[in-house]
This record gives sequence, C-alpha cells and structure tokens, in this order.
Amino acid sequence: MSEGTFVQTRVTVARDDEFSDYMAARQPAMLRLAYALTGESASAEDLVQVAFAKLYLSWDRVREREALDGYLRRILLNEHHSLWRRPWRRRERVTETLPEAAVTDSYDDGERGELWRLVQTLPPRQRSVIVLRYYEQLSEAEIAQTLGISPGTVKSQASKALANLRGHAHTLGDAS
Amino acid sequence: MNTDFERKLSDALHHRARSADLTPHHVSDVRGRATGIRRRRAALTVAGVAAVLAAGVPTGLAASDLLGPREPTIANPVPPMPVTEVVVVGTDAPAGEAPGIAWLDGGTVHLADGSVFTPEGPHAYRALAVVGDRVLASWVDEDTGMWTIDDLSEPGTSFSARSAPMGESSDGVAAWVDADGGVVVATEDGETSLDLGPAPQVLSVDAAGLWFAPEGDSGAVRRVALDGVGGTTPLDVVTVKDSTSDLVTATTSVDNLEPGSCGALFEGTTRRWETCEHTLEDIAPGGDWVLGTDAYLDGIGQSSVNILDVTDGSVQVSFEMEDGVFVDRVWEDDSHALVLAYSWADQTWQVVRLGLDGSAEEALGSRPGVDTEPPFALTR
Repeated sequence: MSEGTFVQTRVTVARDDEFSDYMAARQPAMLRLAYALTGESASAEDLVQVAFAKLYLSWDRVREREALDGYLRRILLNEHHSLWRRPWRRRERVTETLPEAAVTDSYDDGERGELWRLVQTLPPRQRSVIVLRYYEQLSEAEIAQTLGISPGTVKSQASKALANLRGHAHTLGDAS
Repeated sequence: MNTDFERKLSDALHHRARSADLTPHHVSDVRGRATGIRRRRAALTVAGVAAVLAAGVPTGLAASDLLGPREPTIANPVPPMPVTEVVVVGTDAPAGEAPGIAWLDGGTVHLADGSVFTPEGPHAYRALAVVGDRVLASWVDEDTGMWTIDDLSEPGTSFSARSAPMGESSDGVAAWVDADGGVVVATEDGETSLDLGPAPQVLSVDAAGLWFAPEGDSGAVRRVALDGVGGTTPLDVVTVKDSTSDLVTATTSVDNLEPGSCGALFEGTTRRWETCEHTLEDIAPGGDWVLGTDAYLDGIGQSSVNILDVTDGSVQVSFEMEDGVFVDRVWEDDSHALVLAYSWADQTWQVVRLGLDGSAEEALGSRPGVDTEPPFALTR
C-alpha cells in the first residue's frame, strides 16, 4: 500500500466514523418524524434509509455540521414528496373532504388516535406543514426553508389544514 | 401553540410517533443504499416532478458558503443573460383555445383533431400516447405498480408494462419496458422489441432512436437506434430528459444538499452548453427552443418555467406560478408550451398555454382537486 493510499484510507475511516456517530444520534428522531409523515413503519424506515444514504453521499461537502439536521430533514421531506408522485405508491387516498370523525370516547388515547387518523388523511403538503409545525415545533420561517416555499404559503397551508382538522374533530371536545 | 386544539394535535403526533415500532438501520445498510443510489443516478431525477429553488435559494439552510465546491465545474456555461421579464401566471389567465395536442380529462380522451371519446372499462387512465393513428392509453395497478397499455384504436389489444409509454407524437413513436424487462418500440406499423439487458429504464424516444439507463449499470446512459442495429452509444450524464434525432437535453449532476442540479444541451454526444440555473426538459418540435424548469426537483412541482434559446441557453421568457406549481410541461407547437398547473391558493388544476411572446392563457380548467391527483394528463 502506497503512502497516498494509506492516507486516503485513514480519511475514509474517519469520515465513516463521523457519519456513523451522527446517524446513531439522529436516526431515532428521524424515524419518528418519518413515521409522523407516512403513518406506517415500513415506509418510514425506507424513507429514513434513503435520506441518510443521500446525506452520506454528500457528507464530505458539508462544512458546518450544525446544519446537518436541516439538510437531513429537507432530504427526507423531498423524498417523501417525490414518492407521492409515483403512481404505484398512491395506495392511500387523500381528499380535501376529510371523512366524518368516528364517535370516540373521551379518553386521551381515543382523542389522540382520532387526531392522528385525521392528520394522515390530509394532502401531503398540508400534512408536511402540520407535522413540521406541531411535531417538529418549527417556526413558519423554518418550515418555509425546509419545504422551499414562501412563509405565506406555509401560513395558508397550515390555516387550511387546521380548519380541515377542526371541522372534523368536533366530537373531540374543544375544537376551537 | 395558541389553542387547546393545537396542543392536543401536538400531543397526538408525539404520542403516536413515540409509540411506533420502528427498526433502525445499521450504517452498513445505509452505505449499501448509497452505493445503489450512486450507481443508479438516473433514477434520482426521473421520479421527481416538482420544484423549488432556482431563483431563490432559501437563506441559511441552503447557503452555499456552508458547503464545499459544487460539482461539476461548468466548462461551457451559458453566456451572461439580459434581465428577462418574468410573467406571473395566475388562475385568472384569460380563456383560450383547447389544447392542440391530445390529452386525458379523467377517463375521457381528447384528440388533437377535436374528437372526444370515453373508453369503456373500469380503469382510470393515467397516461396517453398518440402514435400516428394509434391511441395508447395506460392505467396502473396500484398494488403491483404494473401498467396496462390499451390500444384504443384496436379494442382488445393490450400490453403489460413496467412503465407507461414514453411517447413522442410528432415523431410517431412510443416506447416502454414490458413485463419481462424488454423494451418495446411502437410505431404506426406495430411493435418491435429490443433486448437492452435486464430491466432498463427508457428515458426518451425520438424518430431515430431512444435513450435508456441500463439496470445496475454504473450510471452511464446509452442510446440505441430504434431497430437496435449498430450497438449503443454512451453519454456521461445523470439522465436524459428529451431528445430529437440530433439534440439531447440532459441532467449532468444533481445536488441534494445545496440543492440544485446542472444540465446540458448536446448535439449528438457533443456538449453545446451547460447551465446550473435550470433543469432542461422538452425540446420544441422545430428544435429552436428548450423548456427549462427549476434546478432542483423536490417532488412537489416547479415554481417556474423558462423558454430557452437552443443555440446558447439564453432565456427568451420566464413564467412563474402565483402561489402554485407547474406539475408538467409539454410543447404544443413551435411557439407555445402547455403546462399543467396547480394553484395552492384556489386548490384548482388548470392547463395554461405559455407563448414565446410572454402570453399566458387558460387552455383547460379550472378544476377543483387535491395536489396529488391531477385531472388532466398531457401527451408529448
């Protein structure tokens, strides 16, 4: 092995170690975010694998490690939206008219379950905005950056989604 | 978090996400997936149909000073361009003629000659290709991802396929990958099959040949004559977007982080010019103009459509959708493009005709609907 090859190998190992550490630290949170977006485990796991793989391919070019979470989140969202454009992935039907909320009991799990189900019926863009706002706790400006849209569009999409959800969550007690 | 409802919403999302049974990946799995992505770079951009970026990279998150140098270095960039007026397209565009090409409206087929018919059958067609007098309408089995192509000109004739036909009506040809992985080329006279290895991906077809991405190849895109004679010609690009007998538009690199992409126009396999401002797409029938959309495809829809001069890539005119996206773009004739547009503000679909002269008029619409279910499909 030449000296040049040896140095390159050391660099590659260090790079992979750094990526592994980051992935170990962030994967659980990304899996949960992906699950909130997709509503199913298999899709969430696949989405996260693709997102980390694309981050891995660009790892050497990220100079500010503080920005990694934002990059990864955006890759994950973009991949999620791309999947929606593939006809054979559209097994789930979304509709502007949400289904009537089923009668639920007043226990927290019933309310949580019903809200979760309603969020999963939102159109993908509205769902992404709601998940980034109420799960990731991002600001409108941060959501706009992540989705590559204007803050005004974030605001209008969130407003429509909330109105949609409220309109069908009237059995959940306080929907105001 | 202003209301009790919003707090309940947040709580519901956190509770359900926390309790999900999710299996983490090992880093070796991710590295393997990355290798696959690198090898099949062509697949990265083909599936994406939407947009962001280009003119306005979000500040902070996408700031280029956070990143290393972009690749590749542009050898022959487009020359400095004069400031081009941007035409904003809204749902209030004046009404114009119906499209001069064939299109699908739900289950109804509209042909360029004005004839309209609704095929019998239980399936909702998603794609349409016109090959001479033949009308090929396609539907997809959402459980298997397999397509069925019905030849509406010969009722009872159908083809099973892994992809919808890639058609070029002006050249009278369409191509698809059949259920066994072979490539089928359809003309007015019938079908011929090409053996291009296991499960290739058809990228573009024209009167003289087709571009394809071989399965499992290291990313090289190749061209073959329609009769399969003469072997294949490689082109070192990510993917081919459109082609004629002598011109090719291609994506040459994709950057998921910055994010963006670069594309080039080739004459044969010779690179004429390259740009990182737009994703290059369809070439006008006369070969004088090229459609360019946002540089980064994020799966949602493009915010801009530009008409570029094929000689040097300079922008003739730019269009932006007002609070919405351009989901598909095709040439109607040498001086007009048709775009399938969705308005987030009105939650409606429409087809808009965009002219070289900066004109914009509604050709179809407006139709209420969700942004993942376009009621219209345009042919090429």
